[in-house]
Amino acid sequence: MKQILIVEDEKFISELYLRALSKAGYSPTVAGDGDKGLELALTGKYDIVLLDIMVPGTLGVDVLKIIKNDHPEIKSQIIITTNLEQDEVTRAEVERLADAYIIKAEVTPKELVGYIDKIKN
Amino acid sequence: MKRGHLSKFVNQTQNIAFILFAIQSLIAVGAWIAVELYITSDTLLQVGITASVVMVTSLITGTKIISYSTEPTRKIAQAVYYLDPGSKTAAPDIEKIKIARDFTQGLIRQIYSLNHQPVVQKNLSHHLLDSINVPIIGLDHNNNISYLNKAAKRLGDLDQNGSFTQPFHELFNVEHSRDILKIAEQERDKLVTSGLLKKIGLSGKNSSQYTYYDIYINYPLQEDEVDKLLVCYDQHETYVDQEDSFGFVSLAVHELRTPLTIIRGFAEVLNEETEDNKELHAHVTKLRASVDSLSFFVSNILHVARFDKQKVSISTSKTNWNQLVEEAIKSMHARASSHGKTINLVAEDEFFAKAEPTTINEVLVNLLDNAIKYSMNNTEPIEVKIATSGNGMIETTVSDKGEGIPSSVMPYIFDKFSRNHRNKSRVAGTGLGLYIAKSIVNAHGGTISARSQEGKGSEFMFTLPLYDESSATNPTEPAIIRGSHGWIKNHTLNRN
Repeated sequence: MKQILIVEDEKFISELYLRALSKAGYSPTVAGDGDKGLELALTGKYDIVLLDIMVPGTLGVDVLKIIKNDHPEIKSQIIITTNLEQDEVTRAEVERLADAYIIKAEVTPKELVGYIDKIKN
Repeated sequence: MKRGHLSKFVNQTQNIAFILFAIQSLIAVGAWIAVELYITSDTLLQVGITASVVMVTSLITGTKIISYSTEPTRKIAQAVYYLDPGSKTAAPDIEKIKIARDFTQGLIRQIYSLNHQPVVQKNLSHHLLDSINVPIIGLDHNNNISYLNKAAKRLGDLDQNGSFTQPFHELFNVEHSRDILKIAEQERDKLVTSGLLKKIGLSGKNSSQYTYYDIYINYPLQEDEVDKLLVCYDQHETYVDQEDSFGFVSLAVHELRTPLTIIRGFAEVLNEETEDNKELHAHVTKLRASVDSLSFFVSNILHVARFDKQKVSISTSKTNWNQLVEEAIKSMHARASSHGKTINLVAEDEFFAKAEPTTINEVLVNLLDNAIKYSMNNTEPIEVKIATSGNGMIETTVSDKGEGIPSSVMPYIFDKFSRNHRNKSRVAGTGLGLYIAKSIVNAHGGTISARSQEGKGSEFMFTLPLYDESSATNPTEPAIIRGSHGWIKNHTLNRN
């Protein structure tokens, strides 16, 4: 069963994702801030990390950079989730490092599962 | 120069020749008499001596005549040589001219005035350009600086008294390293007489503080030194204000999107949970349709802010157009069916467009949304047709059998906030959809138009370029697959 880490501070959103991913056969875990998310991601046990850009503590983009730049041994695929417009520099950095980028308001939980299935396959 | 001076010069020359001839004749007669009286009575010797005297005096007088008559010509030649920048010839001293001084002076003045005229005009032009507080930069054929007015030197933080001939990029920084000179050449290749580059950040070489300009590029036709003239209009305040307002809009959109995400998510949950309850399920379907509308509106606000800020930069790739249209239709299915409508697709063939899927999807969604909104008075299907327009473009048409658009409103339908006042209270909308659609289609190099008959329906057509395999720089599958919801990396490229 694929392990998924959800780094999301908005409780209702993480609840929706938990429900949809569990129903789809994944094993999801939630981290409510960037520091906890980074700590869990660095254990290396997650196949996919759903990483919100705007989280308390270490920001999502910084978590992404630390994992991809400093820990090449971590093979997790990282999906950035956000509702925020990116500046050009951040956008370029995210495109370079992340495996996917989802605008949360544009996808339902079911559609998100569809994207994760595509990446997983 | 007075014309009488020439005839005066001719008369003076003739007079001098006459006088000198008369003198010479007197000398010859006097010499003959003197020889006969005091030197010899031998006729042959008399002739010889007299002839010698005449020859010598002729030589002297002839030289004098030539000297006098050619002096004006020599002075004029000297004046011409003096004007040559590389010559070391001194200016002619007209005071020393013995004859035809007026004539010579007039000619030389004429020559000087003809030569000085461009210098006077150039100096006058430069003086005027220096007084204008708009940086003006002249570039030669090699894009080296050939002219900088004072405002341009201030922009580059350069010495006001200095003269500069370096390449443009050695004196100025362009924000994001935009190659504005390459764009300038491309504009000239289109045979335009001038081009406009908007929102160009410029600074001096040693500064990182950019000032934003709209730059007009002119191509002077009769100027050898200046191949391109850049006239830079300061728009810094305007663009900075736009950045500020865009920042506010971005924040507002983010705050709206968070509750939207939650509402959408739980509407989907309810949709699943009420499958067995028809009545409840119908309510949930309407809820989902409304949430979709709201999400759509929020996205539109962001798009308009981007277009107003001229942030429409698209990254096109090979796009399966039929598939994209099908997905757009599917995404509007809930909304259409909640109003008892269906959307049919007719495609002439399978087409691949050169498009950016994320943004072009907005065009389809906007047109479909309009078709649904303005045909709620019937259950006639909305038709989407894909065909080729025959000039390397794909034409997509969205048509409905709804209430149509009054002819008085038609000229303005692609303007921002344009709404038909008759149905404003009845049909929800912001008047932004068609403005956004037009901006996106234009950014793709296509066109958009509409036909409508009030009471009978409307037809919206837009064109996109067909994807040309032969001109693709990277014809292989894209590294990033973009959609309206974001993007996914194409991991097939990363497999070993």
